[in-house]
Amino acid sequence: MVIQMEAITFSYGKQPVLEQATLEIPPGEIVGLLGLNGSGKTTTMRLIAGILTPSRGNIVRRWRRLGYLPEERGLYRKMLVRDYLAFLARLDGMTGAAARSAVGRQIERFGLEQYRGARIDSLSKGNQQKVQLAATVLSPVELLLWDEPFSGLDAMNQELLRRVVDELRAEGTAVLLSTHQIDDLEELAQRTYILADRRYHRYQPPLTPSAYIIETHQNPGWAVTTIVVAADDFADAVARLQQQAVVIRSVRPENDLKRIFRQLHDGQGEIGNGYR
Amino acid sequence: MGTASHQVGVVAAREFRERARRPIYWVTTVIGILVVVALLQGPRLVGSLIHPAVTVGTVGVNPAALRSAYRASQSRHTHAPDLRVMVEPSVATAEAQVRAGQIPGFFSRSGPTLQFTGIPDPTTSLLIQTLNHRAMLAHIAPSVLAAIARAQARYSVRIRYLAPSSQELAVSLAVYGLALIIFLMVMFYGLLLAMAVVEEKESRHAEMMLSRVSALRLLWGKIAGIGGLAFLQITVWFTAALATYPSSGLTRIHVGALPVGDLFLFVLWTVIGYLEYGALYAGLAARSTHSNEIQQTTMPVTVLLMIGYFGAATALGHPGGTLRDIVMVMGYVPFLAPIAGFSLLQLGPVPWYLLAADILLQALAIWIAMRFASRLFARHLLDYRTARPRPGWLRRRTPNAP
Repeated sequence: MVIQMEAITFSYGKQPVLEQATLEIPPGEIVGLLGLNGSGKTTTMRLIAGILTPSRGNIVRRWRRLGYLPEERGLYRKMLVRDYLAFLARLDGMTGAAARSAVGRQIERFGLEQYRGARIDSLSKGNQQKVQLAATVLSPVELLLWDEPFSGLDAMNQELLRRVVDELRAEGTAVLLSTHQIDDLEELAQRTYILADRRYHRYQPPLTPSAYIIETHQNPGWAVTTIVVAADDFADAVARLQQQAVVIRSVRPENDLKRIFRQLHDGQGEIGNGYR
Repeated sequence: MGTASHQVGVVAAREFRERARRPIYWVTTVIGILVVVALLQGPRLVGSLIHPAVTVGTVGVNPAALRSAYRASQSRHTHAPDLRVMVEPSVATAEAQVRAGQIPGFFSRSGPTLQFTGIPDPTTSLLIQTLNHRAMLAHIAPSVLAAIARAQARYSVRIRYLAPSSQELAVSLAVYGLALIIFLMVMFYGLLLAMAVVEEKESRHAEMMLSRVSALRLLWGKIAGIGGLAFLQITVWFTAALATYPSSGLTRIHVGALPVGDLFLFVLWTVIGYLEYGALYAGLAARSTHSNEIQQTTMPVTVLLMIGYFGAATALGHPGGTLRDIVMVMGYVPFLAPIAGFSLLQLGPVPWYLLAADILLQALAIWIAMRFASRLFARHLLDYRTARPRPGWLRRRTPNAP
């Protein structure tokens, strides 16, 4: 494991945030972190980064270098893009030449070539965010902590970021992604931790779901009907719907992330199939 | 991760470069140069415009002889003020006038020689110089002139000081002025450091930095970078002063003869003061969320600095008894020492072993201040709420707050 958080308890003054919470991130895996606002996602990132210290519990860190994109992110706005990135690369211990080379690679990777010599405060919000993302991968890292990396990016840049995440996975970098966009996590993450009741609940997409949820409507714009079918009956059910000329809007496993997330926050969650 | 010195150096270089790029830094540097030049050249320029007069006293020496000697000297010094000679009834009356500051001094006979009693200002120095060089005193005893002629003596006027000599006065004023510079530099650059810390918070950049570099290294880097700017500025101003001084008309006051050791102590105490107060300013500034809160959060540090400066100045204004003892003690108290320690030079040389002990004490204080400041720095740098006016020790402890 790149990181192991064992029975962590943490509070801000008298306000508890985590109680006996356990989380682990294997190397080279994309791990999602999901929770409502104020549930402790940012605190989790800060604990892993070593910026905060838990009141109780143990954090085992097995990485040499970490890339961190915090939620409260900023930039030295008066610096040029290349100077800012080179400054961070030098801070990571690189020589001047190595820093320039690393900056060139990441500028190309994130499609920032035309802004290389631009002042940061002249960039759009999305491009500033790409600079921040590039800053986290300047040095080879074993673990990336990205807090809301997709927010503020347009569709094209979100696609670019998904490609980068795939590249990082292929390179063996573990990524902890915190986001409110459940669809992104379903697509990217091999496992997701849902923060509820001051604990992490692990969700892993079921490889062989026992049931599926099918959303249908008769015509576009009509009311959506949801039906649940057992996995064994799935093929027959789809065939029946097609015979009735019903439009299938979506199909997803019954215990999907959205459902589990909602259940947990409605107080219906139980440790069982699909999550713990 | 880089080594500690590498990371501190990278942070310091960025602070230095980014702030040196800002026009305001060079505007203040140029304003400083103009002030230095104005202070040095101003008296000469003003003197050439208003042509002032200087009054000296005389007891038993012919005033006409003095005026005549002075007129002769004016052919070489066109901007010299007019000389007025006041005949005094007695030496005692003349001495009283010198002590009251009404005249710079008076001439009298002392056996076979002429004596000037008082504090020679540039005008009377010029007169004495002329009397010495040309021995033009027709009305003094012939035996004196004969003695001068026989010995081909260059010095016929003996000076008896009723107050510190102009040289001592110049050194004392220089120490006073340099202490003022220490005070201003520490306060100005301490506040600049505080602003740099708050900018880090305002830009929300601190969290990303803290994942790469420890709070202590970040703090040291900032202190070193902004300290570099301060010393570059001081060096530019001193260079401007040295370049302008020879043409200032003040060269008869031998400020240039300020002991090199005193200048070294000035640099040393400025560094110590900057490090001690820089740590406090940076640590407390981390409690501010916006730059408009800096004055409020750093007020205790500024007050402490003012106590050091005005305390030393007041005590040195009455250099006897208890006040003298107070300033001697202040010279060793951390945070008061940077200004009081340097001002002690006005009371005479400080033995080297006491100075060494003082520096060790201050080094310990700097170490403690840095540890304290880095804890405050790390604890409050990620706290984006508005700073509360109540001091920390009155608030409930929140041990894990970011």
